[in-house]
Amino acid sequence: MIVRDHLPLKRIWPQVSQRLLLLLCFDISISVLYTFGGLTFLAIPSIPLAPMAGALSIFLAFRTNSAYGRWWEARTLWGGLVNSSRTFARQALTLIDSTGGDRACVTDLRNLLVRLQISFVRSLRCHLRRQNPFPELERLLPDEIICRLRTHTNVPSAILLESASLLRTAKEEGRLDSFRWVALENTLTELTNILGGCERIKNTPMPRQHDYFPRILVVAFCLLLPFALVEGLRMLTPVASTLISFIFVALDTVGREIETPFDNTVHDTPMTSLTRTIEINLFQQLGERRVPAEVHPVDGFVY
Amino acid sequence: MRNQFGRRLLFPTSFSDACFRTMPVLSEWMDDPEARLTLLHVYDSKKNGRREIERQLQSFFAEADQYGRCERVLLAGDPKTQILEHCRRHRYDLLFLPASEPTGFPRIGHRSLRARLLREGHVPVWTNSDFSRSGAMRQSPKNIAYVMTNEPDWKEHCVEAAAAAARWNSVFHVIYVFPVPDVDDGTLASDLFTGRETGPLEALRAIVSQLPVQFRIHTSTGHERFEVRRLLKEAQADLAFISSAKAMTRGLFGRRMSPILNSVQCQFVCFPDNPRPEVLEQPRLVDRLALPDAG
Repeated sequence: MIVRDHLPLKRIWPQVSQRLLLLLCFDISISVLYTFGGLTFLAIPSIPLAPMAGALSIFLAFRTNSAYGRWWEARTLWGGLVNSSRTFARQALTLIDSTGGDRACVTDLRNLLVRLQISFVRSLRCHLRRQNPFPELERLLPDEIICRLRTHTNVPSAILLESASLLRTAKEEGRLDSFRWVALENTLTELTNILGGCERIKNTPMPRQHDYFPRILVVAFCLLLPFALVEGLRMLTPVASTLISFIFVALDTVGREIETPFDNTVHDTPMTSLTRTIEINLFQQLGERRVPAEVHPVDGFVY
Repeated sequence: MRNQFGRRLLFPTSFSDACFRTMPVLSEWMDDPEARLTLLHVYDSKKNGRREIERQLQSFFAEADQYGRCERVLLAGDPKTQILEHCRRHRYDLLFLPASEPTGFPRIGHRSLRARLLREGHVPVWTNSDFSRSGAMRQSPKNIAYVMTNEPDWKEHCVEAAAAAARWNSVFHVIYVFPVPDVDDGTLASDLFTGRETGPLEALRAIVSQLPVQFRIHTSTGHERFEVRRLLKEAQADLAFISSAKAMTRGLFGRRMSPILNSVQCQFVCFPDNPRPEVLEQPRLVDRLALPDAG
């Protein structure tokens, strides 16, 4: 996620440079042919282009809005994950009874449940970024659980299953009554919904029509533009045409970049930072003295 | 059977997008209890304050802190000099150097840092193609290729590649392009087709028989640059092991990375021409395998 005030041109330029340079060459050739080649028939009235620009703007705005909708939904889901993780940790630490059983054993169970929740958050981030989660989980979970998790393709879902199994055992041992067990189970269901929501965004691309037609229309508009401008601007046509084209090409590019919020780019939902926030909160709830450091922006970007 | 190769990893980072996209690859290599990772950043002390850069380095690849086997090193000065000096002072098995971001302008006079570090660092280099915007390894590689040469140390490189294929449970592909027109000049060509007992094919068979990998050979005749690219695509290689002679080419302004690397969406591990002496002295997997004495 970009947190710096301004977006340097050098970050946008590589995405748009190829198209703009080609358009500039095209604009220059139209201007030269009209001005020095005497091909006056190249000029077309500018009136038909105005409604086309309007329609294109609406199309691009719609596309950018749809892309932003995906990005914002991803951020909302991760905001929900922060809340649900805190809720689950609080419930695990306060709702499981230690009466009538081994106190140390109950403390271990609570700790394990909170650690499983931290593991869930870490593995969800890795799952969405197609990253191997196990180097991050090895120091957090016992080896036997790690071995079981390695057999699953969906590790976050398997972690929720581990948590649910522990809760069921606690219920069978009489440490949880039915009401408390349902409350914890509801929180686990919330977490499953968040996992499903993130996977939906990750695995479902924007409808291709929303991606393809704006791109084609932007190219068509940019190619027609110099013909409409050349009569009035002559050799200044390339400057004006390229500047106007830049606006449309940049809008098209921005829309495409934010449509994938879990794709290891600067436009990602800041999952690393949010994971760290959850870790700090949960470790502090566990009473750990040494908690990980906060994640700060790197060169104006939070990952 | 696992070699020491790929356990001491050095990732010099400039905090660029390309560096961030390399993180999934690093997490894959770090999924080994003995792997160690060093994140190195070299900064210009005239332009930036140390404290701010140190803060950024601590936040870069924050999840690496959870590995417990990661250290962060901050140095001031010229990146190439400092990275080389750091490599000289410490022993690393693999240097992670992703392709830099496109600038949108022609890079006339550009001198490749990757090529210079591969030539002068004497350490194998991991890299990727510069057009692969999603250059990160999305999951453990399914197909690992070794681009075979007639160089004397080919067996050692082949063993490393086969060991990597065994580690990730991948299919191991050996790629060889016969030289044209001297097809039958006593090199691999004659050995492959006549089945000579002590030929490279026998050595290949010996290597893969001692490692739990599926093994396929892809051969072709023609222009090396195009044929290697074609065979890598045919093998659907996710990761290819290649010698520096094939990974680099001579450009107008010095050595640069070969166009082969930029024409395939694949990751590469490039072996240096002359590895450091202490690397040669350490126990190698190739010495532990019973291999026929083939050239």
